[in-house]
Amino acid sequence: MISSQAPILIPMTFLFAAMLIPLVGAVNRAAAHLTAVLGSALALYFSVIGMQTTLAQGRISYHIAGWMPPIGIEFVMDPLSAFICALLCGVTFIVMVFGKRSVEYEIPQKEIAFYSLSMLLLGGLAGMVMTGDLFNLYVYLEIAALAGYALVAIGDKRAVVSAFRYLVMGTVGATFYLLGVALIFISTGTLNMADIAQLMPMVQDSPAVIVGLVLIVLGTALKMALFPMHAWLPDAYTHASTTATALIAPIGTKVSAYVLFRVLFFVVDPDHLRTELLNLLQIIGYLGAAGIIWGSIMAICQSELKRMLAYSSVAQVGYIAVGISLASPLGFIGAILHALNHAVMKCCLFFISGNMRLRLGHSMIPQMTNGLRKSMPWTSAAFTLAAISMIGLPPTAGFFGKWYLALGAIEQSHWIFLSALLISTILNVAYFFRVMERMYLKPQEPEGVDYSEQTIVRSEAPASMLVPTLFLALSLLVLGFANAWIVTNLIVPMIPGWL
Amino acid sequence: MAVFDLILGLLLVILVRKCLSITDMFGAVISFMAFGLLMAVAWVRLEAPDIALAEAAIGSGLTGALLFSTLGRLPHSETRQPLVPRGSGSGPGYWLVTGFWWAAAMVLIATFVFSFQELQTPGLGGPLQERLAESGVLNPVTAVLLNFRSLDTLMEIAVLLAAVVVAWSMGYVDWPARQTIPSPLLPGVVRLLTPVFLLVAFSLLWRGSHAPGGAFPGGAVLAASGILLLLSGMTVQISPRGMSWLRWVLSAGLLVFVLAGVSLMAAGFGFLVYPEQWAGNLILLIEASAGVSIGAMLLALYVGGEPDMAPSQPNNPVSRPQ
Repeated sequence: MISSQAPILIPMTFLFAAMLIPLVGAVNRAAAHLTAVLGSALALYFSVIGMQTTLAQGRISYHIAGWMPPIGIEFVMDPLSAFICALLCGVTFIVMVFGKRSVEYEIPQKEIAFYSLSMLLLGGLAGMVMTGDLFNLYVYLEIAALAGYALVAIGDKRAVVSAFRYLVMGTVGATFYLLGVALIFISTGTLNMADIAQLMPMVQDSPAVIVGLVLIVLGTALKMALFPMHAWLPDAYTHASTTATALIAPIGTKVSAYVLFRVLFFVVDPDHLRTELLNLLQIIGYLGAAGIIWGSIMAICQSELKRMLAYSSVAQVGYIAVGISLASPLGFIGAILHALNHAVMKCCLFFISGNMRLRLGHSMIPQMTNGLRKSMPWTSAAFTLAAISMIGLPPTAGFFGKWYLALGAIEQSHWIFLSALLISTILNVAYFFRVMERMYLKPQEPEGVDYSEQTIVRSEAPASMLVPTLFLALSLLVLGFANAWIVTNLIVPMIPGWL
Repeated sequence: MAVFDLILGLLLVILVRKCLSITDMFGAVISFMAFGLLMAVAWVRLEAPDIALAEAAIGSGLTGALLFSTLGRLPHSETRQPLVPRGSGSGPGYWLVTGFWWAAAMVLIATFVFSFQELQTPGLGGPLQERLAESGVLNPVTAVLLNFRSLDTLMEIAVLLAAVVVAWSMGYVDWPARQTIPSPLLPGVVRLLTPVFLLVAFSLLWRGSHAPGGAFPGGAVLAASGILLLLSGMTVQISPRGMSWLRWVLSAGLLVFVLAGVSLMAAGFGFLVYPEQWAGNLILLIEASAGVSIGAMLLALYVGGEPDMAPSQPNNPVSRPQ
């Protein structure tokens, strides 16, 4: 019963929680947080059940309101959407558990709005992943975007300005997407993705379809912060509250990347993609490679931890773009695996910056000293593990995503992509070791004061924040060891047959 | 009529240009509202009366009111200041860049027009007409919005609710709102107009099943009458309990929609699958609750933030007329 309804249940659960939170929160503030945690747990449960069913029995198709396409809207849960959806729900659940103390500390009095908006954001993102209808996707995109702007705006004093920039850029991206959808609808007469995929060979040479596809790719690339359309991202992530960033950074851009996957590999005709649209793929790849290098260099220049991580996100989106551009099984596996790994790593790293803000009151890199390893040993350890994974050292998870991407690049003799991957690894070392060196080695104050073990007060983050952080850090090792299982059982079934 | 269409199209372009280039904000808002009105006429000419209604009510009326309320909150000097600092639009570099973008845009538009000439009209109208009898309503637009693609509408209501939550999360506004226009005429006019507005709003809501109308235009008219009441200085005093009631009113549209969907699902029909004999009534129920909610949400957006509960007497910003 549940398994066949899972595609609609997941976004509706989030939506229902989003409505319930303000009503419950008016009575009791703590209940708002509980509702958010329970809502995301329920959605996670549905998505895991849905994923199991999908893997066992193939795709689940759900016709909303009982109308068949092209009149009605279809929700589709196939291995790809089920996997991404489970990832979204999992990350959300952990962030919601983590959020309680951090939200209370960083954005007091705004908890209810925060949780409600988080659930709305997730409702939008889950809908984007589940829907099999291009216009319905736009509607969900709007919900996710609107909630995202607001989550970014609830932050420090400059957050409103960065949210406004995000809003302008995001609206431009969404408009491009909508225009593209309109052109494709004019040419094919349907909005259903599966129908369009079947009609594509007949209309794909018309300029309207090609312009439409380019507009969709452009809008999506803006949303996923592909270089050079990333300018909104660093500010937005830096000034938002830590919990909001930990929620948006791991999954927000990933869902846009998912849309790119969906359109390019499941809607466009494969032959067309390999011949005439090859330039489009190449451009995505080169922009991704440029973003990898640029994001990493900018990350080295930052003095604030969250801002550094935000620039690192620009680079990580580049990896996914490179994977898409390769258009091969190895590239596909690499991009999806990297999306999973990066979600876990980034979430963990933003948690760490939240822990530091709670206990130190800031997360400025130049002010960090080796007192940190004594006052917050577990947080520091988690940072080290996550940093190693970001750099991509085996056996942590980060290594394997890059490994598949590198194999894919070698397979097609794409030396530019390969060198971008390798150079970025060195740059990653530079910006993470810079933090780790201060965290573990830099003596506190040189002048005569004896900072022995006694003077440093142990002030680790509270358990509700520390446990999710450590859980994510350890799961990086687990994901690393389990990568072969994940690839064969979860990722290989989602690769389209022609690839 | 071709001449009329041509003039209409030209006027639209000129108004957009004026909107973007005008130097004071007040004038920009006025041209934007004029643009919305002409756009509504253009929709009528395109034989899309539903969109025309929505454009006139929301695009021109409510958006205009929102923009004016924003202008009212800015310091007075700022609203009258030129938007573009003088001197930026000169020099060979400026003209080179502007010329490049204009030329590029023109080439793009020309390619669009020439390459899209062979396109035929998109086709879902046929299959839609065939199924219209099963949808429970006679108006094809309402059938699409509330039956065939009901999920899109549900989500659009969610977008609107999200916008209200966003506005409230940004902060509080003083209440009673100090946006009264000191005009001796207004209270009298409002007294006369409010019943008419209400009548129009509910007639639009009711007509939705068989003619252009429905929840969005109806809600917009409802909100417009609320805004007029606010402007004329009439506010309703309601106890703190009113605030929690207000939350229910705001979310009623979405709540009824989602509950209808989920309960139909639990009854074994599937999400939002209306049984054919109840379809008409269910659509009416959903549309009515959505209309009232949309009116309240648009009004809440006009008021701005969450009405300040803290001092003396908190009031209800939805001055639903009594």
